Amino acid sequence: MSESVITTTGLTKRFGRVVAVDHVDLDVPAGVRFGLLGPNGSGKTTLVRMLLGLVHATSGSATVLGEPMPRRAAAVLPQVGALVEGPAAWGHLSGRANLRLLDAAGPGGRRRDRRRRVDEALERVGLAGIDRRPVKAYSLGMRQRLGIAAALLRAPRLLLLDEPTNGLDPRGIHEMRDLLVALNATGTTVVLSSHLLTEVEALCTRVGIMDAGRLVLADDLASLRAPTGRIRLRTPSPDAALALLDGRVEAREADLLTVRGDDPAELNALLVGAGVPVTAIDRERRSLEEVVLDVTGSGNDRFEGHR
Amino acid sequence: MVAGERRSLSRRALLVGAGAAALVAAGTVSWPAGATGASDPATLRARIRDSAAQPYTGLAEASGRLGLPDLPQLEQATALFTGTTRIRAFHAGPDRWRVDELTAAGERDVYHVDGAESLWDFGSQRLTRIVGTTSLRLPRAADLLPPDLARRILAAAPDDPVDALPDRRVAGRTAAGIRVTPADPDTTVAHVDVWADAPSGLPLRVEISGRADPGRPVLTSELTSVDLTAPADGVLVPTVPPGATAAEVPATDLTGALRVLGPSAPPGTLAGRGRLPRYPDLPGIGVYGTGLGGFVLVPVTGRIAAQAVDGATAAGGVAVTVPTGRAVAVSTPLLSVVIRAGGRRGALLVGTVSAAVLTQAVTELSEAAR
Amino acid sequence: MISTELVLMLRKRRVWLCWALLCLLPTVVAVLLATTRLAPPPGRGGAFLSAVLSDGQLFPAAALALVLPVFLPITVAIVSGDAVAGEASAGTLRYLLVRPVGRLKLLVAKLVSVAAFTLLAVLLVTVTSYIVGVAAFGFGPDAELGGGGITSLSGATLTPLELAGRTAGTVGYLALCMLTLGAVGIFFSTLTDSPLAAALGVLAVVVTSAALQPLDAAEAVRTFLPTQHWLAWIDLFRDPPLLDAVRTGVEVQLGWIVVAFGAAWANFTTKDVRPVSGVIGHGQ
Repeated sequence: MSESVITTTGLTKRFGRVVAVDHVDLDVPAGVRFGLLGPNGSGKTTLVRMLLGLVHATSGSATVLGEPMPRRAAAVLPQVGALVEGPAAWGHLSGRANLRLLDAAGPGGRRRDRRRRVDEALERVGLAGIDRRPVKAYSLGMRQRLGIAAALLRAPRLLLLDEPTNGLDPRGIHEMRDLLVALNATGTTVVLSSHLLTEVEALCTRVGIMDAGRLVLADDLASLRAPTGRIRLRTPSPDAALALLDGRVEAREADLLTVRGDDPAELNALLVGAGVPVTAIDRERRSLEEVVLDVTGSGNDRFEGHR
Repeated sequence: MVAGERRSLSRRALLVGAGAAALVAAGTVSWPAGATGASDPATLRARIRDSAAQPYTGLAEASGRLGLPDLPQLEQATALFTGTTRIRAFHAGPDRWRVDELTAAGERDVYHVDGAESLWDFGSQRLTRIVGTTSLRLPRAADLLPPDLARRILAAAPDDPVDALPDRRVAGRTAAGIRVTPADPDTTVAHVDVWADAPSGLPLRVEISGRADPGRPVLTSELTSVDLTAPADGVLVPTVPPGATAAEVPATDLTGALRVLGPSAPPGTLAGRGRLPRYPDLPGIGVYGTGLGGFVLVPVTGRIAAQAVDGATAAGGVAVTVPTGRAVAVSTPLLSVVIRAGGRRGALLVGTVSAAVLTQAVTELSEAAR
Repeated sequence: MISTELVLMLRKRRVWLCWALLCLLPTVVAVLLATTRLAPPPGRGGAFLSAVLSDGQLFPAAALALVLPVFLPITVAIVSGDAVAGEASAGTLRYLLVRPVGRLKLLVAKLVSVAAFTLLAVLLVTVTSYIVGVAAFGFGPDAELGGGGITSLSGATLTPLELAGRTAGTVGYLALCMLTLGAVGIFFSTLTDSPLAAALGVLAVVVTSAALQPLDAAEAVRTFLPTQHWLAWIDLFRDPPLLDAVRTGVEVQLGWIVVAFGAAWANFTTKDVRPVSGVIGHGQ
């Protein structure tokens, strides 16, 4: 594994009596697309805010791009693009004016390149054609795109996106996914938090799962979905198969059998050789949903209101 | 780390708190007065009395808490003793000076140049030239300037005992202090404290305390800033700005409030105090007593007297039984006032003596009038 | 960041509305005075108001005295209360901070923009009221003599140049007095996410200070009250100008600014920038 972009050790945040983030040890390697999954109120946003220096940790430490945060925020943050807890903009100004002012507010970048930077960022998120309407007249999707454009403005090495597809239509979600994959391919590490399994599953290469402030799991999506040592096969004559494989069959649902073993080819040959037709056969893999349900237990959402 | 976070927060708050405290301290703490090397109190008194020639430019603030009742036609004079007055002085010498009474939205200035006096009033846009002089006039802001007030008091009480007071900082200077304690048993004045610039003898601060509460001065006047150089000649020249009016008034007109037609001559003695043989130009007015315990008898018209009696009674005055008419006495921490009304004439007695002395005087007066 | 902040301020409709209202009040007073010719008696009403009828050039001073006690503080409270709390409630604060803009730098930029607002407010009132005053009441009697100056409180005539200088001093002094409120507003603005609460806090300070001012019991603290020195600029229109009170005023105002800004810094640099609604989620 290559160098880490984000490392946290025992990172904890208490708001009064509520522990929002509880001893999180997180490691995000460079170049991945990291998905932080968890229900609302599980501490994802607070964790992201701590990584950005917006919220000060109660205890523990965080390192971003090799520098301690929030102590070295001035050096770290120019290389980070962020979308935190929804987009926000000065409503009385146009989207372009917003980006221009945001660009001018911070360090780096030459003034005469500003127009180009802003235009490029707008083009990437599909807002190249926006007019002078003030942002308060924008739809939620447009605001979301503007927020992502702001995050892209300074060609960041790390993108920290909180619910980036929020408010986008299916087509917009697809565009955003392509954009993030393309950025990732050019070396940008992407960290996004989401409560949507499908989104993370479709985009990310590595997943962290948060539950009640704790990071309960962090692993590559590929290894989470590694074969389980079982083979699932479909056959029109399940009784024959059952007889043949007696003892290896773990479960049967009508014509769908779950069989111990990790070589589908061998199993297929065995069945076909015995005259049992096989219509489908593959290794069994866990879905991300199963993983999440496994590690988080039940009832998260029921306490959402409490926080 | 928990503790560290908290500590850094409180360290910042502490820093700001300390800074605020330091700023407040810088604004209130008066720096320890350096030694003035002051001579003995009697010498300082003499030096103060001779300081009239010392030129200076300065800003003074006088505040009195006398609680005088409203006296008809004397409001401007009584306000000097009941509120705070800002005064600016340009003093080139005893006969060349200008004193401005600064108000929130204007000024009343007195120019005194080579015996001629002019009054500028911004509110009425008028410069009034005063013709002639008068031996007695109503108090005005210039009288409250520490140098004038101190010299007047010390001149009135040349033989009363003086003690040294600790030095104090006044207007950025180290001032030596003396306390005059009047010997007169009937005076309302407990003591008068004067702090003066030691080398020049220029009084910088005066505190007058009454016998009722000697711990708290009832009249305080202080130069808040002073420059011991003579003012430029230009500021001593009164000008009539375009659009304003210029007027000439005989000096005696200014004391109009004190004049009544055909007054009877004041008695030679009242309440055991002899009349001072002065003020021939103001018939009917008598000044009695010496030192810091004295009073003035002012004859007034019956109507004004009646108004004043009503006003003083409403303000908590004590009724005095007199053989004819009615009278009321008002005691303030420093000044006592007794007003008698009845018939065509009334009398106003004001002085730094106890109300009992004035009551006796008014009784003698009304017996004489019978 | 400072230029960003200035652009943001200048493009807020609220800011222009405040300035317009500030200029409106003296204009209304001028129109009423000019049509009725009924000036308040000397010593009553606002400072200089009684003298305005004879010289329109005095109207800026009268106008400043008119807007100083209530209108000017209200506008400064609104604008400064919005400084940090407004960004926090709009959500733009977190994007500025991760841009990154240092927290101290952000506060400095806010202070500069509030200072620019107060200076422009006082300046606009002065310029508007000069034009309105001269239009309504004409130049004073000195102009007929070819001077064009005004009568100072002390009676001496001030030349147009002296008038300009002293007016400039007044503008600067009042802008500083108002910046005190601005610094207090920025501090309050870091304490809350509600711009309205911060603005009301500033007004509470003004009212408290004004209420304490005449109390004998408050004599010990009177010098430190921010409103105590607001009228010291009148001394600039005396001749020779009297600087004592103005100097004390400047010292006190600077002290307030340092303390209030320091408090804002102490609070804001360690503050957690948290979701406004208190709901951790995806801020809709």
